Amino acid sequence: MKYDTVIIGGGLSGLACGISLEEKGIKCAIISLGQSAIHFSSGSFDLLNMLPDGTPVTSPSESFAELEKMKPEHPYSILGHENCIRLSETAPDFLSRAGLKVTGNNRANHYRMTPMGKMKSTWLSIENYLTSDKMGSLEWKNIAIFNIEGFLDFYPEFIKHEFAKKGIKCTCHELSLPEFQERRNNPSEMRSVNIARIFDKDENIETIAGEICRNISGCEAVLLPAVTGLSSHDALDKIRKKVPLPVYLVPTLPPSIPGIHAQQALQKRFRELGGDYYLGDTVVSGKLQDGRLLEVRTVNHGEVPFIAGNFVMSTGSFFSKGIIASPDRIYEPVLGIDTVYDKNRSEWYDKDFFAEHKYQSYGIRTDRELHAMKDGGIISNLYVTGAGLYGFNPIKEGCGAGVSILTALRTAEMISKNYEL
Amino acid sequence: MNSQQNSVSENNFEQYIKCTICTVYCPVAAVNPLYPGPKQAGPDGERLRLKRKDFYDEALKYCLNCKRCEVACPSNVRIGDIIQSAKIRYSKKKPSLRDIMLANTDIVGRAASAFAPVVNGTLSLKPVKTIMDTVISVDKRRSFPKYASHTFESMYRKIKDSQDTYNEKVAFFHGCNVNYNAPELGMALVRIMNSLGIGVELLEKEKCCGIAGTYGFKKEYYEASQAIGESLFKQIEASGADIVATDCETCKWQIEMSTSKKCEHPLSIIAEYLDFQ
Repeated sequence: MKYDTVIIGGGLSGLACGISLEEKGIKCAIISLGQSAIHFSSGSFDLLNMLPDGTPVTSPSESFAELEKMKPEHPYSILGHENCIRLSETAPDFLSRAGLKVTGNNRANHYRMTPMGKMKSTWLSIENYLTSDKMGSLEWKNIAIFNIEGFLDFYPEFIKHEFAKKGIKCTCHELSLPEFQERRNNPSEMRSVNIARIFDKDENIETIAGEICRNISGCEAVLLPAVTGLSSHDALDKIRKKVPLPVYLVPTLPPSIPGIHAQQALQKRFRELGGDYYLGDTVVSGKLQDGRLLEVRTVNHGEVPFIAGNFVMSTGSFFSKGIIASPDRIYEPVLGIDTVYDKNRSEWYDKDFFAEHKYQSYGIRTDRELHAMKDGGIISNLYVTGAGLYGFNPIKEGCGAGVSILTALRTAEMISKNYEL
Repeated sequence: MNSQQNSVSENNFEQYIKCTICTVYCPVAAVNPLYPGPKQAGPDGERLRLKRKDFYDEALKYCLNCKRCEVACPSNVRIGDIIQSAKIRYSKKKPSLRDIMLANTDIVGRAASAFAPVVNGTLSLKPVKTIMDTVISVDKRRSFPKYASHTFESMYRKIKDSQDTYNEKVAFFHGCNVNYNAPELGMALVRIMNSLGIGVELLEKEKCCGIAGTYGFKKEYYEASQAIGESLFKQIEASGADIVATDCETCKWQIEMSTSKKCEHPLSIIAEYLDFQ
């Protein structure tokens, strides 16, 4: 199997890299062990919410330079603040070309409502989410929230409580359809995914919109959990046509329907551009020679290797098994490339659960051009992007999606330069 | 040694993290509310079944074993296999007459072929289909494939001698469908191979290879699976074939695992041949 570039890992970073390369006419394959962590993402993308010293960030584009001084090992610092500003500028259009419409920009973070009713700072949010420019400010005084009866992963009462603090009145209702009741036969399967399927049917939209309209007198806006349709993408538009008030979505607990849509949109875009996406295949080994990766082998392809001029490792972090923590070490399981971690295990974490933990920053070591290293030697045609990189804390700094996307886009640029030479 | 580090559970069951991604991609869960979904039928239910057998739910029969859940699983849990294992281990149902008929395609095929025109005519009649629906639960909305009056093997016998003129040979493991329902496919294969200069040989008495999808992979069925295929393997070894051709992937795996011959899909053989031209 011969490709210009083979990308290991088909999540946000791998797909962003693959789409970017295919847009430049470079033939790619993505090999992915399973579906990605995007299925659990909120539907918002974070660029930079906080500097490593704890200073909140309101404008990422104005804070990259300072981050570079504070933390030279951060992937943003490796990219350089100018590249970070430039690439984050192109991201919304990039996502939009893949069918993912987002609001937001890199000059000013906005606030998106969480399942708990709080407002959280973020860079880009999938359209239809309830967002606001300022923390704590929403223009309405009276809102109706609708949940699905029996759906336990959404908390209207918490949201109502938070809104009351802001002086906003909230009424909570439950939607009940016979089909919803049918789903409740398996209570543990009354999850966002199964409910979303019910919104796929037009007849149900009629009933749901009717229920909503009957309960909104005196209200200025309607909130629904983000479960409006799994295979269809226009269920919310149809509901909006029938409801005379603005309707917005609030994220639920996982699985995330907006996250699933994002993954499917990115995968579709990659395939439409001509990329080959091998889902359910696992890379098991690679052949390294003279500081270059020549080929990789996978479970499903057996004796047939994937040969490419360039390889990208976008295998994610602990959740996606891109990085594995064993009792005594932290390692990269596919090729055994160099990782960064403290030898003493007791340093990996803090006893206070909500404090920053060092393990959250551990990951794969690279040079200043995102090349992987093995036993200290650079592998000149193997790049690392995304969550698996060492040197950033996605939770504290609020930069997970940004690192995934920006390192992917930069890597695509560097690889395409190789072809121009 | 830390035993936790080296514990590998059956079907990677212990890697399960309740993420529900499998349920997103299950085609059965999408349309059948009676099916609990791969998560509950598989690893989630297995935790309960390991404690008590009567937590087994007969609704697991709806699982197609299509493996879409396994392809989607980010933790490499073999969900389909967990469900199939549970069905085998805990289900109290015995195979019915219908199950036996649908499974033994060789016996049914031979009988149906002998009386093909009558069988084909009868099976397409609405009243007959209604009776089959009521009596043995074969859905009347389904149409049966037509049985051929002459099996592929009988048609091949007429041209068998002509195949000796070829230097390169392929042994064709044709299976039940080609033999009883679509002999023209088998003859087409012979024509194509011949035009490439490759002769086609059949085995003396073709029998089931024993793998039956994932059946033969299960430890408790390994011996049975190999015993079923034994006469086939012997014939393959004894044949003068350079390579075995079959269009069934699982049969291909079994033949490669159990004989010294390479086994390929006919299309692969043709493609490889064309590459060399």
